[in-house]
Amino acid sequence: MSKEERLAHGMRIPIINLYSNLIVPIQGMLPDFVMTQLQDDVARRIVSDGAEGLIIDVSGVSVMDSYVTRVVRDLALTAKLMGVRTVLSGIQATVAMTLVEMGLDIPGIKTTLNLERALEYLDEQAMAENDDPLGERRNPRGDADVFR
Amino acid sequence: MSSVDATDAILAVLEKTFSSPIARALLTVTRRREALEHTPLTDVSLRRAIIALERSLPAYVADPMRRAECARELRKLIPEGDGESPASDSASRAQAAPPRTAGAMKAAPPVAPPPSDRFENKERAQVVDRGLASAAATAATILRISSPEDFQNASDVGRDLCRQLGFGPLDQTKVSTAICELTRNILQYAGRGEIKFAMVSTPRKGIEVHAVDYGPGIADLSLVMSSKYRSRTGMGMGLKGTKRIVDEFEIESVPGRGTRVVFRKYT
Repeated sequence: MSKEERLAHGMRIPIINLYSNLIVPIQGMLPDFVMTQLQDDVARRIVSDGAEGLIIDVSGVSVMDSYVTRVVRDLALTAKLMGVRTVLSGIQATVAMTLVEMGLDIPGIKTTLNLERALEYLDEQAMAENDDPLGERRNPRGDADVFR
Repeated sequence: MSSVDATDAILAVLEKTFSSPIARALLTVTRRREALEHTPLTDVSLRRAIIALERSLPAYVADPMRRAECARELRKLIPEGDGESPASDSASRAQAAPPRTAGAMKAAPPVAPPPSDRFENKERAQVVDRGLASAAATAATILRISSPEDFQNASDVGRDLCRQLGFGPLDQTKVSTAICELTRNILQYAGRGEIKFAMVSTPRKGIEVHAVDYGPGIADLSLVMSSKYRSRTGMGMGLKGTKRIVDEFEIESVPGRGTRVVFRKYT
C-alpha cells in the first residue's frame, strides 16, 4: 500500500444520506486525490441511493483555493446533469470575500448560509414539485446505469 | 521528575534558534500533530513532544550546526531517567541530514542546475535592491513540500504565523489561500519543493513567503498570468488569483529548471 493510498484510506470524505438527500461535508484543506475520489464517490452514490438532492457543506473549510473551488463547481454541475438539485452551504465569510477578490466564482449554483437552510430549501423544492402535477417528475430511482 | 508544564521552557529553547512567533508556530503545529494540543507537557507527553520537535527540525533549520545545537538543548528538557536512544539517534540523523539545497537537488532532473545559483543570487539581489537588511527578514522557516501531508503543514504554519503577527481573520484566510495555491502547484507540477516563511518589518510588518521548486517550470508566464489562460486541471486562476489577494507578488520561472514565487502580505 503506497503512502498515498494509506492517506486516501483515512482521508475519504463521507457522504451522508438523509431523507434521500446526500450531504457531503468537506472539511479542512484537502489534497487533490481526495477531491478526485470525492467526485467519483458522489456520482456513484447519486445513482445507487437514488438521491433527489445534494448538499455540499463547506462550513468546515477555512481555505478554498482555485482547485477546491473548481471541484465543488464540477460536483454541482455533474449532479445537476444527473437531475439532482444541488445546494452549496456554509461558505465562511472570509472565504467568500477571498474568492471574490481572487476572481473565482461558482456560477449557477444555489447557495445557502448554512446546512439547515439548505435542507429547508431542498424540502421546499421537493414540495413544490409534488404540488404541481403537470410539472416535471423525476424518476425517483435514477435510470442511468452507467456507474453500476 | 518534572510535573510542571514545560511549554515555556521549550519555547525558551526554540527562541534561541527561531523568532518568537515562529517558535510558537512550530510548537503549536507539533502539538497538534502529536494530538497533545490540550495536554500539559509533562513527563511522557513532554518526551513525545520533544522527540517530534527534534524530528521536524531538519525541515526548519537548514544549518546542521544550529540544528544540532537546538536538538541538544531540547533534549536537556526531557525528564531524567529516560533512555538516551531517541536523542542520540536523532542527533546523528541531524548531523547526517543533507543541507537544504542538496535535499532539493535530489528531486531535480539529472540536467538540473547546480544548487540553483540562479535563484539564490536573485534572491539576495532582490533583498539588497529593496534595501532590506537580513535583519528585516527576522527568521526564516523552511518547509519541504513532497507529500500531500505537507499540504496541511504549510497551511498551519502560515496561519499560525499570521495570527501571531496580528493579521485579521480575512488576511489570515488570504495568506493561507495563497500558500495553499502555491503548495498545490508545487505538488502537482514539480512533485516537491520548498516553502519558506519569513517575517518582514520594513516597510511594514508582514509575512513573506517563497515557494520554490525545481520542476518543469512555466513556458509562457505572461499567458499563465493573463485572463485568457485556462489550465488543464484548475480554473487557470491559481496564480492570477493569488496575485490579487497579496500585497506584493513576484514570479520567475525557467522552463526545465524550476519556478520561484515570492509574495508579501502586510498587516
